[in-house]
Amino acid sequence: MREGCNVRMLLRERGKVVPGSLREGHNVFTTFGRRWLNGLISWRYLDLINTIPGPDTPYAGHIYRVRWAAVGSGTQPEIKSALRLVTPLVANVSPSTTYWRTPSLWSFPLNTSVRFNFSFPEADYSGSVKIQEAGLALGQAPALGGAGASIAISSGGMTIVTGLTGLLAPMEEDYLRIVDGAHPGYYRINRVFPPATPDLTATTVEIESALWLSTETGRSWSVSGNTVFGLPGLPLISYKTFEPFVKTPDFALEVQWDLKF
Amino acid sequence: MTQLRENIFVEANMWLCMRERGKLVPGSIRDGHNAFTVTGKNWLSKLVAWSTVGPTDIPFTNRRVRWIGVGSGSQLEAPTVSSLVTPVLATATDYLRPIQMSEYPTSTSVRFTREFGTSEITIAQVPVMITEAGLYADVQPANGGGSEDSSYDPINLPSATILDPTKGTNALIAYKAFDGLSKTVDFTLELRWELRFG
Repeated sequence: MREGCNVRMLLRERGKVVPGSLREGHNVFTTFGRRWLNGLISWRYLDLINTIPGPDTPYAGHIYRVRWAAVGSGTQPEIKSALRLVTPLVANVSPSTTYWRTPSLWSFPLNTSVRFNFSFPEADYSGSVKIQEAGLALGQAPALGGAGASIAISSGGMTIVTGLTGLLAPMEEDYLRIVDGAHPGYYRINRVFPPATPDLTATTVEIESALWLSTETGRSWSVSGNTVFGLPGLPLISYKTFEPFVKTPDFALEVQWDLKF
Repeated sequence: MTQLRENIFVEANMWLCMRERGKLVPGSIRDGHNAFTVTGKNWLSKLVAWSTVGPTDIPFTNRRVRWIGVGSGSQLEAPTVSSLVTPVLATATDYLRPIQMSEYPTSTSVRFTREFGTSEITIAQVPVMITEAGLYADVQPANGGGSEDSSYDPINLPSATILDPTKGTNALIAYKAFDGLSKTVDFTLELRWELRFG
């Protein structure tokens, strides 16, 4: 991988690199990924050297590690708020619909980085497909459980009250959790409107504010059961879009993803 | 575009103060950026990945931020820092004390807090000069760790990843040196460590 890059992908035909198929570059580590890391490095409960019975306990949902990659044919800006692939592609439909592949190999090229290699064989993706985006997602083996464990997602598809679309903005949520679990968590909710919003033409605007309660779809995400690889909308910890190329059944796709600290 | 970067930056900030019967001791606040060490980056690179992916995933490591320790030495705040220069006993037997609270001031940062009591650090009832502090990742040995988490074994596994709080030479993930503070039995020492993912 070229120095300074995080993502490298290419097509191979019978093992040989397909000319012009190499794509390399930086990626964006998403807000969801940062939120996951926050919980991943923290204990929820500590066994204070046996003064409290029971083992150290991590935050539910924050035990997941990098496990999946998928590609898509859509594109969106590489910004922290990128949460899902725009148009994820089905890699295989037999024996079941599969969007996501587990890494075929992972290594530690540096003391402070980890590299995941994903292989999408020739049989993946039926016919000729345009590939223009890729994402990295979390998970764990279904045998380890995880049903119900979830990581809050900061920006999901909020249900906007009909007729008010464009006037309501999703909240940016911060939250505080106490480690001993004895206290209920509380939420601090805020929304910063950038200078360009509200998009009004008047030179002066009377502002009134209100807090709307709403059902947010995709509010949290959890691993439950064996069908995670069949979910097109897994939230991404890392996203990359690039100049498109076409994968045909003659080509295998290789994706190499580095996370450097 | 500033959001596209080669590395996932871990910004570490430390804040500490002393309190006397709950009130801030004037002039005792110390704060600032500090070094997130190579040990910490290595730990993160192992923490985000599974060691084995299959019917039962196995992690490389289960260690998470667990301890804070202080010392009376000082060294350059560089990523290569491996341990405190002159660790100070916090209790009669332990150099490291568990964090008491983790909170999330923003959705992409986490703050760890430990308050050392009046009888901690000053176990000999004499003032102790504090000039450095370290943050440590660990797992309760009884838990069992990941495939690379190992208890201290000087013969077979001299580079243990599961820490021994009774030793002052444990590898730290973040380090801060600061102007000296004299802790006495009248004061508590509150230490907050914030990690932000940029």
